[in-house]
Amino acid sequence: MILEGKKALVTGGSGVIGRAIALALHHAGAEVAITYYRNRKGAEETLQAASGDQRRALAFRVNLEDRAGIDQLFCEIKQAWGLFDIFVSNAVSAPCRSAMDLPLRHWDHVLNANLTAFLHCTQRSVELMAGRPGAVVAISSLGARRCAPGYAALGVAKAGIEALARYLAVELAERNINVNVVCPGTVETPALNAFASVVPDVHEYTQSLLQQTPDRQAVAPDEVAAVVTFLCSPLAQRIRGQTIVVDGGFSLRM
Amino acid sequence: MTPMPTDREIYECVRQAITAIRQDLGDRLTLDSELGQELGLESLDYVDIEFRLETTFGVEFFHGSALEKLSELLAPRQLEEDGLLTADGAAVLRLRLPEIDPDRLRPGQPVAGIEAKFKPQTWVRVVKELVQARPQRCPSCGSERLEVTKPSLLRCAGCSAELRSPDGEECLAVWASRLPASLEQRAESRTG
Repeated sequence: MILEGKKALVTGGSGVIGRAIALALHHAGAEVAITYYRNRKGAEETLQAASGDQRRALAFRVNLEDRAGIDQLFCEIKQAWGLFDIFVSNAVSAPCRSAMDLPLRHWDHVLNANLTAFLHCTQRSVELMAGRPGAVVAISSLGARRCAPGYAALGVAKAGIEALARYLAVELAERNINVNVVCPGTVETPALNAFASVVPDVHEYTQSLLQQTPDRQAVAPDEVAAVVTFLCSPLAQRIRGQTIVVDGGFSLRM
Repeated sequence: MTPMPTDREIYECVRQAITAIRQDLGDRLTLDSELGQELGLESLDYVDIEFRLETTFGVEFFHGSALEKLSELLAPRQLEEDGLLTADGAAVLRLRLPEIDPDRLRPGQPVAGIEAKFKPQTWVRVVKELVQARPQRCPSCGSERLEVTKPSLLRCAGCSAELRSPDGEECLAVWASRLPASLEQRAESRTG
């Protein structure tokens, strides 16, 4: 197994994509810890699925907007594991609002809970990689480069994550830690319901996105997870600071 | 064990949590203000306020849909249909949210947006329910010196044992388990 003996932390492991990533890393041999905040039931499902072969998955409840909470998370991971090897920044928290309607407190929330949390968690993760080779993968979205309804704040945070990943990739290359980003297209998850406040019909909106995809298929969570797993593996050692788009060709069309 | 906070003390913390993110509310905020429709708070604000209250009181709210959870717990009773409150749904919510005017929780109302009717009083009641549900003494050594270390987690100062305190989901389940009798009574009083 390509990640045998590795330990991996995945934020937002209670959701559909986070669970798929945690399970893919587990199946590749890694021991997995996830974070969650509001969806404990989802976290328990992931834990159950990602345990086995004497590898018990761990779950930590943390609000990624809370910096003291992030520090506490890494203290607990250090206690549980000592060191670890892989950090996947997947958690998302954002309202769906157009830029002109966005209260500034919500803007601050989105940048703190997404972009700043990515930096903070990566800093703490690298401390616990302690000179060993490691991998950091962040999940972005097409809203970082294009415009989706109500996506202004999160789009900016995701664009920031992609830019930050490039800087981190350069800074951490000498430590043999590679940093990359995976950018999924349309993945059918309950998170799409957030668009209900900005589009007349979420189902129709999702269908229109799929119509623009060359094969008219949604991206499966496992397909995103497979790319994340590859980027965490030694096979991707020379890939640094890249954003890999997994959208079935959606973004190729004019 | 720290003493049980009074309603007034809990309300003061709720008020501080709300005004920390909405300084402009000032004197407009009362125990009875409607948070969404009257004061314009949104679901993301609720996340922030609940985090502050969880940190202050060492409790953990239930973050899922209470109506969905209650539907599971009270099955086969149907609390919502096609996104609208049923008669049972309205009756259950009126009991669960006594601080909200019953006329604001009528059968046929959309389920979406019920949170907007919450009041500071709603959180006062839920915090109180969670704090009251905590174990009062350590089952291992009998000590009453229990300290909150994290939301829903206590440590016994006597023997260092870790104890779980019921969280919002568990408290909701306990509440629902006592509900059917009162619901029947309600149905009888409607027909009577």
